[in-house]
Order: sequence, then structure tokens, then C-alpha cells
Amino acid sequence: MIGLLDPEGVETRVLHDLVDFRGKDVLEIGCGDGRMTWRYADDAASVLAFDPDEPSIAAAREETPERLKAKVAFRVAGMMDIDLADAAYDVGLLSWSI
Amino acid sequence: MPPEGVVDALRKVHRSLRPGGLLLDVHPQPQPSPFEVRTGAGATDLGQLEYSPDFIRTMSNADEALVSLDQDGTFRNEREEEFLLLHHFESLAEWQDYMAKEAQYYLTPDATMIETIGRGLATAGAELVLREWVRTSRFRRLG
Repeated sequence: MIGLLDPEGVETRVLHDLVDFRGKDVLEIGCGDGRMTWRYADDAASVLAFDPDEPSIAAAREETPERLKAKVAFRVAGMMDIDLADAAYDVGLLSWSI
Repeated sequence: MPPEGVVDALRKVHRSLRPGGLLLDVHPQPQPSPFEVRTGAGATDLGQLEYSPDFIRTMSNADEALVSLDQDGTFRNEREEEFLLLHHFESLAEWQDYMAKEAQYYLTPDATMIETIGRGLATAGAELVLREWVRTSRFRRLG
């Protein structure tokens, strides 16, 4: 991350105002380096986050806190080539990705 | 991505969601992003950063796709919120690194603008703050 993005926490507040992530299985599309993932992953039951940009996913994996490693998975993939199970997620999150 | 490509992608998300599941879309709005220099003495507006026509088209295509899926009963738009997302930079170099990384999304700032920012950030303790309008929409999976 270059610079400091949203230290005021506005984006986090809006996300949690719109969705209760507690106990949810979340699919995040276009996660980049996980910037948005860290804003809700503590509450979620599981997270599958993907992005076609390999360096960004490598950074996200490296920055994954130990406490989240069991429930957050990052994959290098695009929307049209990833295999997704039907009816498997409670929340889909398009994080600046369309 | 053209609108039909976005629609295909969103239909795939629809299939992967459980009945009644939620789709949350977060994306910037096309209006220019104002920026200012803040010091202990206050804030000074320096201008605004404009998105590139290509990126504005991408945002428009995304909106068009989401509206069409709302209209055909794939998703129901339940709620929207707009907010200002603030990005803080402590030096001209930091801002230029950011602009290089995000170059595809913005029109290139001219030399005068860069000079103005550099002058503004020369004050001890100054920071540059970029304000982007962002919209978040919550959709409910139908069907």
C-alpha cells in the first residue's frame, strides 16, 4: 500500500453497516492485495478471495495474519476462469472489481 | 469489461450464492477526486484528479450491468451508500508512486499540478489528501 488509505475507517463502517459478516461464507471478487479482506475477515466464517494479479495475491498471502490463515484462502484467478461451487456462499463482495 | 461481460460474471456470482445471499458492490464514482494539502494551519484545495475516459466507461458498464440484473429479477438492489474515501500521502514521492501504480485509472496530472503539490508538501508536517467518491450497493440474490 502506498500512502495511507482510509485511516478514518469510513469504508469499514459502511461495509459493516450494509452487511453483517458474522458467521458468513464470503466470496471476494477482485481482492487485489487483500486491502478490503482485512476489513471483514475476522467476522466471517470463511473467505475465498481471488484476483488475476499474481503479485497482489502473493502480497495478500504474505500479509495474512496468523489468526486468519485457517479461514481465508487467496487464489490467483479471474472471474470467468475460476471454478465456483453452486450455492456455497452467503456474501459475494465485488471490491472495486467491476 | 463490456456490460455483457459484467452480466455474465454477475450471473456466475449469482449461482455461487445461497438463496437469499447478498452481493455487495463497492466501486468509485466517476466524478473527479478533489485533493488538498493539510498542515497545522488548515487545508488548501489544490485541484482535482480526473478518471480516464476508459475507466469512466468501465464504471458506467458496471452500473448498466447491475441495473439490468436488478430489472430482470436476478438481484434486488436493497440499499446504497455513498461516501468519501480519503487517501493520505506524506510526500510528493509517495504520491507519485501511487499515481504510477494507478496510472491506468486517471488522466495524467500536468506538470503545474505536480509542482503545486510539491510546493504544498514542502511545509513540515504537511500531507496530501485525495478524496474519492465511492458507492456501495447491497443486492439480494433472487430466484
